[in-house]
Amino acid sequence: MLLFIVMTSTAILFIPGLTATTGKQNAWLVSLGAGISSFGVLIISAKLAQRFPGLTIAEYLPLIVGKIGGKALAVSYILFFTVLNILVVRETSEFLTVSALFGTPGIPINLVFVLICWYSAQKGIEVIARMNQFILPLFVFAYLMACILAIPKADPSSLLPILEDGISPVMQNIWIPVQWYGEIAVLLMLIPLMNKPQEALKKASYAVISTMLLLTFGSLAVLTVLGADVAGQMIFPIWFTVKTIEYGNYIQRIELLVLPLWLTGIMVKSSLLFYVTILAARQSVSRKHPKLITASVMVIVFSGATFLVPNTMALLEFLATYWPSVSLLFEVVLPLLLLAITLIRKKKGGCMQ
Amino acid sequence: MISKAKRYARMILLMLSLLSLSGCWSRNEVEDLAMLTGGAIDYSSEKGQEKYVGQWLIISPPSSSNSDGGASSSKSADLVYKGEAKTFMESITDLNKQLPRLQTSSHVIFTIYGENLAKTATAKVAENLLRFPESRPNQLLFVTKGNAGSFLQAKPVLVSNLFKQIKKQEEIALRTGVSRGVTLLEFCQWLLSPDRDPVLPQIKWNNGNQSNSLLIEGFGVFRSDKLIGWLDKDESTGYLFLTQDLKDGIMPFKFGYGSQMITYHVGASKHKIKAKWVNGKPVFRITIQTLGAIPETANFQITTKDVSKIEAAAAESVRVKALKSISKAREYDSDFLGLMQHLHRYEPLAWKEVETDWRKAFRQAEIEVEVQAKIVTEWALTQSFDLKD
Repeated sequence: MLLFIVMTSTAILFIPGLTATTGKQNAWLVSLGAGISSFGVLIISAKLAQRFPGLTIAEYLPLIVGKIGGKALAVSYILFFTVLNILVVRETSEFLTVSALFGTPGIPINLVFVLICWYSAQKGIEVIARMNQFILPLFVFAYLMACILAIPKADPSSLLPILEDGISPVMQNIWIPVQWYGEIAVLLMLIPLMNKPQEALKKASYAVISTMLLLTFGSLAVLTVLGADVAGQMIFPIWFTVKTIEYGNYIQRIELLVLPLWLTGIMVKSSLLFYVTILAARQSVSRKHPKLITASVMVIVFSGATFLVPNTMALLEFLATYWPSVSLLFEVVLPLLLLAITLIRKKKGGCMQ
Repeated sequence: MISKAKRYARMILLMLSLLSLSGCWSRNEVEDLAMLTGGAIDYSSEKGQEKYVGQWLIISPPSSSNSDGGASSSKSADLVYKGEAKTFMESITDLNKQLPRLQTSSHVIFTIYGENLAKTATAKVAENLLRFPESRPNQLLFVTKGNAGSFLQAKPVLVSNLFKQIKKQEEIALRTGVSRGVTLLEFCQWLLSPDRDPVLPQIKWNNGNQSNSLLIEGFGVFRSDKLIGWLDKDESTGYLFLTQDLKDGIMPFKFGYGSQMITYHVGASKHKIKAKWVNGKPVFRITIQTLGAIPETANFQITTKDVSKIEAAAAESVRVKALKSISKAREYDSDFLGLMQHLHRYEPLAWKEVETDWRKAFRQAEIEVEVQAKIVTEWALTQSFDLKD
């Protein structure tokens, strides 16, 4: 459940727009294909975790590649999670300033957002999980309601022709959404915390499947209501799709009802990322000053989200061109390498529970 | 001590969360907003100087419209303000100079494009409208001959506000088959699509002079983003039959039967387009099915034998309008009927061949229209009046 919201919450805001720009009317196939290929990420992470039961990636990295290399990799993973979190916070404030809080500078939004998420992350994984239990149904409900209410406005023929230029444009675009699905790599840190780590693969694949279905459904809604040409122009097409919903004088302007529910979803995601970052930092860097570490993570994320990206254009360019390769490196390539090394060296470790 | 520090931390967190409760940063109370409900934008360029003139309807708040004490104030509740500037955005903010309230465009129901604007700067303004976070995707767009500004002076009839009138009138225009509302979203879809040209409904004065009654009749045809011509009433009806499935229609078609003119009253219609690629050019076969009544028989007695004859004549009367519309499309070289879009969607291979020069393919296209008109009723009488000499 946690993983599901991690992947869906921000992906739904950006994916339809980013993929429709290049994938046109086949953008929904892109999200579907990306979902399928993200099973690869999942399997890699789960296998890796099975080799080292009870240990997180920050703990077993030194076991695989030696002490210095392990530390370096662990630190880079911490950086990766931090940057991911920075992006999440920044995406949220971008979305808010474009949609509801028009005119509000990013600083207060970021500050409030970061403080809340950081606070819940400090309270531990259980708090986040419980929070998620409460929020998830609302999130899914809001999401489905938005999509279903938009159905009468939909024009299915705008999905035609399917695969106009063959399958290759779809394949080329898959790597954009894969980064969002790939966020399932937080599993590398989370599996040891599960009650039943053996079931991790099964549970996580449920998450991937439901994410895939929901994202595809969302892309379909966006494409049929707005059409690929308009959707490709938009920064948040799903927001605009919800805006088109209008039934007489009664059901209209529902976007502001849906918005808080989306926001809470993103909040869970950010909290989880905070938690993972802090945990990894504690395990690999130092166990001595936990408070210092958590505080500095917060400051870094806040200032990064506020000052690192100058404007929306830069954020989108970063998300579409540079970030995919970076995130794929951490989400797919590195875990795969690690798995290969362990298989070759037949390493096993960790405390058996 | 620790617990005290914790308590302080909690207090601070709570206080900080109050920050977010106080509302958004740049919030505006409803009392401080001037709601724009409709607009008319004109454009002129002289000696390279562009000028946008936006006139906007502002709904006047109830307190001021009831200031004379009675609910029966004869004043219109709409106020018209004008903003002028060299760019579109500036022309909107120009309004603020004249108003004690901040204008907001989140309730704009309709926008009328003046002829000059539609001929030169449609895409610019449409993009701006779509870009603005406040704007609604469902606002209606219209186009008019000459300047658009004067239409905002029209007094609403039977309803209290002009935007209500225009919204209702647009719905009725579709039912009577003379025009239909086009939303901003739809217009942008057409504008951006690689295979279809947009149209906008035309708004005009009855009898051409600035009388009190507004008409929504006909369409303005665009080629890409430039207005290039107009559809009259018949061509508009043809356009609607060729592109829409109509229901609850009240569309009369007159045609000659024997020596008299009688009327075919269409209630519903369906259309079907079949695109084919034959010998290097597209062939479109469009079938229109209509359901209707013959309420006006010129005192003929219609028997079952006559029905098929009358149906054929009625079908012809529908077909004539459809053909008129198609010949206008060819004349303007603008595929507002969405035929090439249909080819693109259902015959992608054929589209690949013409993609680079699809307008040429449209000019060469063969378009056949077949109308199947059905008469289901002659309303309340079974016998026509049989008059004595």
